[in-house]
Amino acid sequence: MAEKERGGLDRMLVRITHLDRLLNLVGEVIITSNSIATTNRRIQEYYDRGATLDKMSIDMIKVVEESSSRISGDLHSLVMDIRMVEIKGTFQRFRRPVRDMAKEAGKNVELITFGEETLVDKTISEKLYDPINHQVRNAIDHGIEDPLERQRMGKPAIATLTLKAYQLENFIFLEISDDGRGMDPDVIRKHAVDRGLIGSDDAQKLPNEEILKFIYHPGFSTKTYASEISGRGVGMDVVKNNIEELGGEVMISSIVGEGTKFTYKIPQVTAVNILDCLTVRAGKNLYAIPILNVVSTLLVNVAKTNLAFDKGRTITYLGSIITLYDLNELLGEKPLETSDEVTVVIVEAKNGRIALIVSELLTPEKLVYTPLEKIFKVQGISGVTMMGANKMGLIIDVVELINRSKGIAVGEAVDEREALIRKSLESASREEPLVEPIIKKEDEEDQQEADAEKGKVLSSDIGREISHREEFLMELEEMINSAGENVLSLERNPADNELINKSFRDFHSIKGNLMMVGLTELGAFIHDIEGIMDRAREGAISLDSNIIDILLDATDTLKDARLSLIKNQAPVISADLIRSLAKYKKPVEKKTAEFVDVHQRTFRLGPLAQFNLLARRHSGQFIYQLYLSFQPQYQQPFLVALLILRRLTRIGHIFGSVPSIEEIESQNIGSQIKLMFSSNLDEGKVRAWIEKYLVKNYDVTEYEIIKTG
Amino acid sequence: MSIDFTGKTALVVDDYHSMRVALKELLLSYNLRIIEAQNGLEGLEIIRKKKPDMVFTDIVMPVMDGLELCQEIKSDPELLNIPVVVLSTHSDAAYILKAIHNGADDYLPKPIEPGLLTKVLSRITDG
Repeated sequence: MAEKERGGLDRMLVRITHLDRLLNLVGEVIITSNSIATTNRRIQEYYDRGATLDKMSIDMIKVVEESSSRISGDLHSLVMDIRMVEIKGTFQRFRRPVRDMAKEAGKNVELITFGEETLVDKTISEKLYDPINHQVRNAIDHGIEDPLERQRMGKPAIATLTLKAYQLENFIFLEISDDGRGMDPDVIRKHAVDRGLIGSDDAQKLPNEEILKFIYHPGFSTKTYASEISGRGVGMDVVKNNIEELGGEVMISSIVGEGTKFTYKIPQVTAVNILDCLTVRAGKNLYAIPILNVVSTLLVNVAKTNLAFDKGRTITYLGSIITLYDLNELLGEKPLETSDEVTVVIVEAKNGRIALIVSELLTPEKLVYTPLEKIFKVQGISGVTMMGANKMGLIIDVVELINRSKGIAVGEAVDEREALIRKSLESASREEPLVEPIIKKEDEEDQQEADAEKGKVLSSDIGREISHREEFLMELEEMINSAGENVLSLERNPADNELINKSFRDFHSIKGNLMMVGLTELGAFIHDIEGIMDRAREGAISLDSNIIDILLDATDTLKDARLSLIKNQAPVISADLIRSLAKYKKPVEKKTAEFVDVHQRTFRLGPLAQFNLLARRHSGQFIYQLYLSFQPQYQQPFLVALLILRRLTRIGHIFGSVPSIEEIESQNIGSQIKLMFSSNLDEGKVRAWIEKYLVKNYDVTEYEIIKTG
Repeated sequence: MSIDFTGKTALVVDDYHSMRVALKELLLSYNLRIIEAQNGLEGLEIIRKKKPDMVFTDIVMPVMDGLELCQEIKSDPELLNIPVVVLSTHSDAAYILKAIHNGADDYLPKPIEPGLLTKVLSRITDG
């Protein structure tokens, strides 16, 4: 729900090249299915004749088999590629919060990102937001010192918070580091002992990096204790759980006085329901064990296993003792027939390592699996899959299986964890309430009044009905993010011309797109924002912190507006914002609003005769005086005047005293043209031409033509 | 909506897909065949290769903007007769002026009024 609120739509943009690849594959599927049909017919013929299959037929079958297996492989990797997004989007979502949190905490923090181009699965990128957010908040609230303290320590006044991503083999690494005060293992050690989490002797023996891990312990620290241990304990267990849900782990390193670094290591494959599995048979049942969890497979002579007290049989593997279980028995099925030699699969997860007896090892496979619905949930099984020859197989959840081996039930633990996650989300979502208060119909008016009191203006338009609304909203999100990003960069480099231009273009495009779908009120507001950037571009104003705040508020307004539009509600524009914006608007000099922009942009036309009319100029034998009156419905009159003049150059040459734009304006003849032109066409033809081409299409209401020579 | 452009092609140039879709939908009702480009440069290449019957372009775009595109089309004797319509908002009169200066044949303010679109289509194709 919270993800939906933030991310908006359950959709993603797909690169055209990917679609092209997909189309190619579809082509290949068609070809392959055709050749299956051909092969089938051929086999049928042979069968009908009672003949033995020839080599050709066998080869054909082979070719079909090979190409279908290649196509499915290609399809899989394509789907994985399509789901990949740059981590950039996730990183950028922190620019604004970091700025605001730092400001609020009275600290000076710069966010630096590396490896933004790292590709991660879309689902992973979404699930990373909460844990990162949590740690960024902790780092700013507690890890990073205030400017005075940093000065005392001889550290640079501006603290650095770094987000870094990279891929190594099949793992995504994500580092969140700060150059703050670091965590003191001795403080954590003492606290762990105080809370009875570990005996004081044991605590002394544990190395520092192990001690740091105590901050993951649920409820390890309280808020009052937080500052003493740099506050890293608050909700850290939730962070750890979130990452573990992705099949990953969190590592910590910290140096007192220098800073702390958290590293997430996340397997790249977990998000999609395609798993690399080792398939095994146990009695009549087929199981798939995720390859990630498989340590080794071996043949074990039962006579050589150890019978440990109270633990059943164990085997020794690379020097460590591992308990041996019958897979079927562990899952509550009929135990396997015993024999002297058994096949064993050693599996491992974060909660331990066990050895499983199976009947037979089958081939490793890539399997598409369906997660089991909660009500069908069996502890130790995460989903079902189809294995070769249409047999149903069960996917083993190794974590749960190991818990099962230890006699631990899942239910309670899960509930407790969910409650914690919920709690942490609630506290982390001050600005983004998880549950929107539902306003009942009869309360709506009150709400509007309340909004008005809070200085809000409800705009009335929700835009036109458009069929591609969701895509529009998605592109809008991209544009808003880019705009926000550029404004934050401008805050650091307010005089960077290229940035100013970029930012101008951002707001210009946003305005255009809003207008295009009929969101004219919001568009007009953004037009004013664009106007500020335009004035900055001209050097008329410099981007001080007041203006940056306005620009940031404008991007916030846009973000909220986008969320409102998703819910089909009219966007809200703050009256305060409009008021503070008014100060920076260029004073309107001209009487008619329509022409204001021409002057705001200091784009002045000389006499129309000098305007490039792309003339097919004629110097004609007849000279005419022309008077035209027109009433365009949707276009500005003086622009239509230009279009008409251009049109006229097709039959003649305009000359004499042609009014300039200023003249058109000052004489308030925005919808009138008076001019002279020469043409080779006689009067009748000129009239016919005007009737045919001008009257209907340019809304000409009246015209008069006088031949003067 | 009396005009039928069956057999005619319009090129739509805009850096945002949703904007291209919006215009495309309107143009399809005139039975125009639509081709798309994401910026002026891509548009120009397509115009040279496919010689569309008309061009609709956004103004502010990366790589090559609509103003430059107008200039390129109108300074090429082979392309000069292809009508170009620029899309803009009412508030951007200065851009439209520039575009007309650079040779644009007409303009459509956003949001596009279907009535005006019909009028503009007949203006640019009536000879």
